[in-house]
Amino acid sequence: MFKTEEINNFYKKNNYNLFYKLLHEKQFQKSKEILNSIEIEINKLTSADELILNDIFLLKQILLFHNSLISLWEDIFQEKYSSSWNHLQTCFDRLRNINKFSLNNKKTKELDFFEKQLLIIEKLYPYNIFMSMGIETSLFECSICGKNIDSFECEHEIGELYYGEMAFGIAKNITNINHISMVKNPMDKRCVVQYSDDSHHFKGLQFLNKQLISNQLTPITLYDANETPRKTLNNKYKKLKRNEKCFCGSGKKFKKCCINKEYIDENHIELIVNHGFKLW
Amino acid sequence: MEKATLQILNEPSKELEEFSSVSNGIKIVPEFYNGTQEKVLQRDSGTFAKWIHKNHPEINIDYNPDIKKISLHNNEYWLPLVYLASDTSVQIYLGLVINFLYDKLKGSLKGEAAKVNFSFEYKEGESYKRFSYSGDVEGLKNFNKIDINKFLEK
Repeated sequence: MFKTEEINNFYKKNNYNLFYKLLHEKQFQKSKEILNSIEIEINKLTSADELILNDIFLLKQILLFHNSLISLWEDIFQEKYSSSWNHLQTCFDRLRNINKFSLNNKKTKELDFFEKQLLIIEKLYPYNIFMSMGIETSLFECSICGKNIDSFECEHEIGELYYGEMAFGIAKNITNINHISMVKNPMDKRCVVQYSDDSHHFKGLQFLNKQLISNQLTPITLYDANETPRKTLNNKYKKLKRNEKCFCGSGKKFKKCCINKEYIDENHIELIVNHGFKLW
Repeated sequence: MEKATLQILNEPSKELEEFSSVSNGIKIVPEFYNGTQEKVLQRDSGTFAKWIHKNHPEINIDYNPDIKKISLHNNEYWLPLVYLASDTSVQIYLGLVINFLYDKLKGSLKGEAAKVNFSFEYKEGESYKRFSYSGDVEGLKNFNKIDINKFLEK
């Protein structure tokens, strides 16, 4: 996973096995203490070697991923579904960095497991339309050297690592907000219309919470999912005479409109739990 | 779902005519976008230009980094309009775009299908053409294997 022997050895000594065991037992506070102790060890690492510094960046991303993972599960456990969405998105941001900067883009099987699990959990949220802004900017300054990051004079590429630091462009002169739009595929999925935690929109997560509290599953044993749409009774359906105006308000005759909509398709996700699965 | 169009430019810009006849490599060209007061470049233009400059120094790039940028903040790659000179074939340019995206998408999560939007204009025979593409990267690879004109005739 790492490009240097030094950091590979460090990771073997400071692994997350105990963390996973405590997460499985839903001991969130103790799990955080494990992460704090790993963080202290990471902060002791120093080097002048660029490869080692880049590997330390990767170590920190893995730590931050686990920090967000614990916050996500803790929020779901405490019925804070709205804020758990932000932790989920932070998990994904960290995983993208881990994928990108790992040797041959391959991470550990534990992180592969969580990537798959979190993508399943994401489907339980009600969000599929997001806010997005179009912004006109005259200069993006390099976060490392301060030059125009879009010029050949600046040697740094956006999103790449340099001595353990990721280069990005700082918008220095926003001249106009061109538009605000609704999109399906935003850069940042955190820009959503918020629902209250007891809203029916969170029914998938409310189900997950009940399963978690009753020990039907744990953050480790939620293993897979089957997605199969199923027919469900349409609550708005009204049985009318064939030539009556349809109940849906279309103005058409019932026989030419919703006569066949007594049952409608509903997304259905079946969570698969593997009680024998262990990460430690 | 990918959408690709190829159109004949009956009135190509003078800039395109000049570039395709005397220059080599590629030229990154600003355009008006959604009511902008001046011609702008898409946000990924600089990243793309620098990537070519670093990985393919043999390709000449005519590019002004000081032109205003528009960032759309959606999770798609928006590459700039590009003019191709006579020494840069369509296949070479599509190969550049695919390799650039492959490099930038190394961190993608499983099942994340990246979308890309771009256009380029070039001279073929006596006519000037504009190719535009909007769709996923996998679909784009098909164009690199076969002749664009033949594909779009189907």
